[in-house]
Amino acid sequence: MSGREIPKLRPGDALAYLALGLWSLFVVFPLFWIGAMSFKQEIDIFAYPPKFLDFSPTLDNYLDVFGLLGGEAATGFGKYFVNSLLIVGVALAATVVLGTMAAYALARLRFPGRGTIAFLLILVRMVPILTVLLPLYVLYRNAGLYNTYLGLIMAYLFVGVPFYTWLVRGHVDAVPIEIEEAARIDGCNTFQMLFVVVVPVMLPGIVSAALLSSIYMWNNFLFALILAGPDLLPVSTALLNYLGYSSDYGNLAAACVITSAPVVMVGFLIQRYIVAGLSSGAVKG
Amino acid sequence: MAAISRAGNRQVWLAYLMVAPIVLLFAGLLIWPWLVGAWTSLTDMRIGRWGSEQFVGLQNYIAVLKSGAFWSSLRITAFFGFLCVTAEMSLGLGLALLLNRSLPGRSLFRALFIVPFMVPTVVCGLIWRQLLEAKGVVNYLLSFIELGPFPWLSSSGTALGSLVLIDLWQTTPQVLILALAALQTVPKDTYEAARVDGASAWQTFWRVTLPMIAPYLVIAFLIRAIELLQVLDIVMVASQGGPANSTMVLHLLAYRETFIGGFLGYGTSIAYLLGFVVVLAAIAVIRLLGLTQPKDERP
Amino acid sequence: MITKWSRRLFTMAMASACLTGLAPATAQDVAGPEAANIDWRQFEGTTLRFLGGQHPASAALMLVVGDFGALTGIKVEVKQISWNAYFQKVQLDLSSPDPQYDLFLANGGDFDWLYGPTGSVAKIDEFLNDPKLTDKAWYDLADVDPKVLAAASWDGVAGHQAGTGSAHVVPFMSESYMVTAQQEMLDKYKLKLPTTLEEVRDAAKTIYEGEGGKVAGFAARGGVGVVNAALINFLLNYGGGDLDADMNSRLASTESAYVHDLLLNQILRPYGPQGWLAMEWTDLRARAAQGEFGIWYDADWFAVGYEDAAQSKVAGKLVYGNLGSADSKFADYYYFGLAINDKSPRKDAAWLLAQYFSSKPVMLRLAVENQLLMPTRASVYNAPAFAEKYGKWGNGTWLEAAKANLSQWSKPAFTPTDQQGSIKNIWAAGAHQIYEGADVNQTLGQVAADIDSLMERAGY
Repeated sequence: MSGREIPKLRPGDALAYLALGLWSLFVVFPLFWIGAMSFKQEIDIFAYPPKFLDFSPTLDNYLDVFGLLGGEAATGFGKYFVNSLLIVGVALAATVVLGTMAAYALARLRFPGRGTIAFLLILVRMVPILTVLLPLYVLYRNAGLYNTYLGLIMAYLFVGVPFYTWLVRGHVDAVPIEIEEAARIDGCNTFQMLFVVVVPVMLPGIVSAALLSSIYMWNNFLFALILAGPDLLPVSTALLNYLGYSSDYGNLAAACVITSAPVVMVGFLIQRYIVAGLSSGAVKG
Repeated sequence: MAAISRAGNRQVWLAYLMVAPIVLLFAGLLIWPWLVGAWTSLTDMRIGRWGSEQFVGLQNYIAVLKSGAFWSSLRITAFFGFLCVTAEMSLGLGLALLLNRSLPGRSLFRALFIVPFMVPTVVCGLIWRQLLEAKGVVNYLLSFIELGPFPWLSSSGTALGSLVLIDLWQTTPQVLILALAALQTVPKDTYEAARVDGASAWQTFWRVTLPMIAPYLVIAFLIRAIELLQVLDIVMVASQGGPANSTMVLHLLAYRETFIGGFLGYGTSIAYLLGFVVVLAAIAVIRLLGLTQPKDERP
Repeated sequence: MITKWSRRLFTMAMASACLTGLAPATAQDVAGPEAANIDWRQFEGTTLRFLGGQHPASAALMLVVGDFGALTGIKVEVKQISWNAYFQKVQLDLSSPDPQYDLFLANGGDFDWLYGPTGSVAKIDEFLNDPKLTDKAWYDLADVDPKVLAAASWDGVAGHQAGTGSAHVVPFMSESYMVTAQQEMLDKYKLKLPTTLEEVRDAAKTIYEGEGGKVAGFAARGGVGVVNAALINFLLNYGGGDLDADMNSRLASTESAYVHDLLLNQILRPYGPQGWLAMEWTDLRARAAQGEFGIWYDADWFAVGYEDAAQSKVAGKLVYGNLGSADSKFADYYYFGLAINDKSPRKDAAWLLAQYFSSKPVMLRLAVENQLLMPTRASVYNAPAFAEKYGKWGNGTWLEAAKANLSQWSKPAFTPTDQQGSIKNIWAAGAHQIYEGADVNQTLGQVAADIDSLMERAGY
C-alpha cells in the first residue's frame, strides 16, 4: 500500500501541495478567527485594523458563558451542553440498535413492503422540514411530549435513523454471504446472526455510521427550537440565544467554540473511518 | 445483493419485527404530521385563530403560484443550488484527486478538510457573518492585495454569492468524502495499466477513472441537490433573506409566511410546493445522469 | 446595558450592599410596596413563569424577582430566549389551552396588536378595577405617560389608531428616538446639531467629505430596522404614514417618495456607513460607540452604551437632540410591558408582578441603579436621583431631548395591525432596492401594491 514506501516527489506534486495548502488556509482561517475572538476582550474585538495575535487573552468570555462571572443575567451554557450529551447520546444508542436491525432486515430478508420502507427512508430527506414542523408541534402538545427529553430524543431519531440505516444497509451488503451461510449451518437464528456474526464484521462501518449520524444530530437546531422549552435546549439551539439582541461578540465566539469543539474533535479522530466506512457502505446503498 | 432465501412466514414475521420500531416512529413522526400538514395547506388556517379555519381546497396553492414572491424565490433557490453544486462538485472532486496521490502528509490534510463539515450550521453562519462584515477581517486582508472592500452580505448583488461561499466552505467536505471513497474503489493497477498503455494523466482521468467513479458522483450530486434546494439554516442565520429579498430561498419564504405572517395554510402550501420541486429535481437528476449500481446484484 | 462587565460591577455592588446590611437605596420619598393597601401575600406559594426575548427588559425582571418573592411569597421563573424562538413560542403558547407561561414580554405593538384583539392577552382593566389587587392611589396610573399608555391600547378595530380601547399592558419601559453627534466633529466643521433631515444632508456631506470618507456623515439603522427606526419617524414629520383608515398603504404618496429619496438617495448612500444594508441595531450601536459616525439617529436608551467609558470611544463627547422636519420632531413610541396570558389560572398573581414591576419605587430603582431606560413615569424623570445620574450626558442635552420626547414628540407611529411583521419586511426590501439605485416612485408603487395585496389576503 502506498504510504509505506517513500514516494518520489513528482513535479506535479509541488502544485498539488500549493493547492492543498491554499485550501487548508481557507478551511483553517475562519476557525482560527472565531477561536481567537473567544479569547479577546471587547476592545480588541472591535479594533480596526483587526488584531490577529497581538491582544491579551482573557478567559472571561468562557467564564461568562458558563455563568461563572456572576449576575442573574448569566447563562449557564453548561446546562445546554449536558442536554446535548444526553439527548444525542440516548438517541444515538437507540439509532444504532433500531437502525442496525432495520438495515439488516432490509438488506437480507425478503418481505412484502421492503421496497416501500426503503423508499420511505430516502423520501424523508426530501421532505422540507416546514411541512411537518407545525403539525409535529401540535401532536407533541396533545401527546404530552412537548418539552420532554423523551420527545426530543424521538425527534432526533428522525434525524439520525434514515441516514444511519441507509449507510449500514450498504455495509450489510458488503458482508460476504458465505459467513452467514456458515453460521446458519451452525444453527444460528436471525438475531444471533445479526448481533454475533454480522455486526462484528462490519463494526468499523457501524462505528463510522454512528458517529456521522451523531454529528448530524448534534448540529441540528430546528427541532429543539420548536419542540422544547428553554431548559431542555441543546447547545446548537441555545447558541441562537446569543444572536439578536446580544452584541457581546466575545461570548458569542466562546459559545461557538464550545458548541463545535466536541463534534470537530470526534470528526478529526475518526476521519479515517468516515472515509473507509462510506467507501464500502453508502456508495453501494 | 443476495438474500437468504428461506420461504416461510417466520422470516417475514421476524423481518417485520426488526423494522417495526422504525416504521412506527416514522408513521407517527413523519407520515401523520405530513398528512396534517397537507390538510392545513388546504385550509385558511391562521395563527391565533385555531379552530376557525375553513377548507379552501387548492386556493392557497393557486395564490402561491400566482405570486411573484414564489417564482422569485424559486429562481433564487435554483440559482443558489446550481452555483453551489457546481462549485462543490468541482472542488470536492479536485481535492479528492489531489488527496488520492501518494503525498506525504495527506492524511493530515484529509483530517483538516473534513472539519468544516462538523461545524454546526449556526456556528458556521455566525462565523462567516463576522468575517464578511464591511470592516471585517476578509475585507482587511483583501486590502493587502489591492482589492477594494467587497460588500459581501450587505448588497443584494453579492449576498447570494456570499452565501454560496459560506456553503462551499461548509459542505465541500461532504463531496470530498464521497469522492475519496469512490476513488478508493478504483484498483491501483488500473492506473498502472493506463500508464503502460501510454495514456496521459488527463486521459487516464477522463477515460478511466471518471467512468468508474461516476455512479458515486451522481449520488453526491443528488444528495447535494436535495439538500440545497431545501436550504434554510444557513440563510436564516447569515442573511435572513435579505438584503432586498435577494437571498429569500423558498424554504425561508415558507417560514416567513408561516411564522411571521401567521398564514399557516398559505405558508405550509409553499413548503409542499418546495417538496414537490425537490422530488421533481431528484427524478430529473436520476433520469438525466443515470443512477446505476456499481455492482448490480439486485435480485 | 447589562453586559458582563456591568454584571461584574453589579455583583460586587450587591455583595457589598448586603455585607453592610443596606438594601439598595430606593428614593426616600417614594412609597415602597408596603405602603400599598393590598395584601401582597394573597397568592403566597404560587409559581409564575415568564418568557421574554433576549433584552435588558427581561434581564431587569430577573433583578427584582428576589425582592418580589420576599414580599409576596410568589416564586417567579424568568426565561430569556432568542427573538426568533420567542415569536414562535409566544404564538404557540398563547393559543394552547394549557399554557406554559403566565407572563410574556410584550414588545410594543408587534406583540399587543397580534395577541390583544384575539383575547389571548388579558386587559389590565380587570385588574386595575379590583381593589383587592390594586391600590390605585399608590399605583398612580396617571403618573405613567398617557401617550405611552395610549400606545399600548387598541380596540382591535382595523383602521383605528392606537389609543382606542383599553390597554393590554402597563408599559414599564419605552423607547423613542434621538439624534446624536460627536461634538468634536460638529466643532471641527462649525456645524450645529441638525434638527431637520435637510440639515442632516448638508451636515453629513460636510463631515463625510471633510473626513475623506473615513467617518460616515450620518447613520441610521439598516436591515429591516430602517423601517421602524428611521423611515416611519421621518414620514410622520413630513406628512406621510404607513396605512390609512381603510388599511391601504400610503407608501406610494408624494410625501413618502420625498422622504425615501431624501434619506436613502441623498443622505445614506453617498454619506452613510459602509455595509449599511446589513447593519442592524446591534451593529449600529457598536459602531457608533467606536466613533465611526459623525451624526446618527437611533434609540434614546442606546446612550447607556455610548456613555460607558469602558467600551465606548466617544463617551462624554456627544450632544443629543430631537430630529424631524421644520414643523415637528415626532418619533415613534416603542414600549415594553408585561403581558398576562389570559388563559393562565394564575392571572391575578401575575398582575401583582406586573404591578410591582411597573410601580414607582421599582421603576425608579431600576432606572437609577441598573440603567434600565427609558422609564415611563413622569415621577421618575423628575426624581433628583435620575437627573443627577443622567443629566451629565451630553452636558444635559440628553435629558432635555428625553423630556421633549416625553412631553411633546413621542407618539405611536404605526397603525395597529397583526400584519406588522410582514409589512415591515416588504417595506424594508423596497427601501433596500431604492438604496441600491432603483427608481423611487416605481419601487414605492410596487411596495404599496404588495402591502395592499397582503392586507387583502389577511382579510382587511
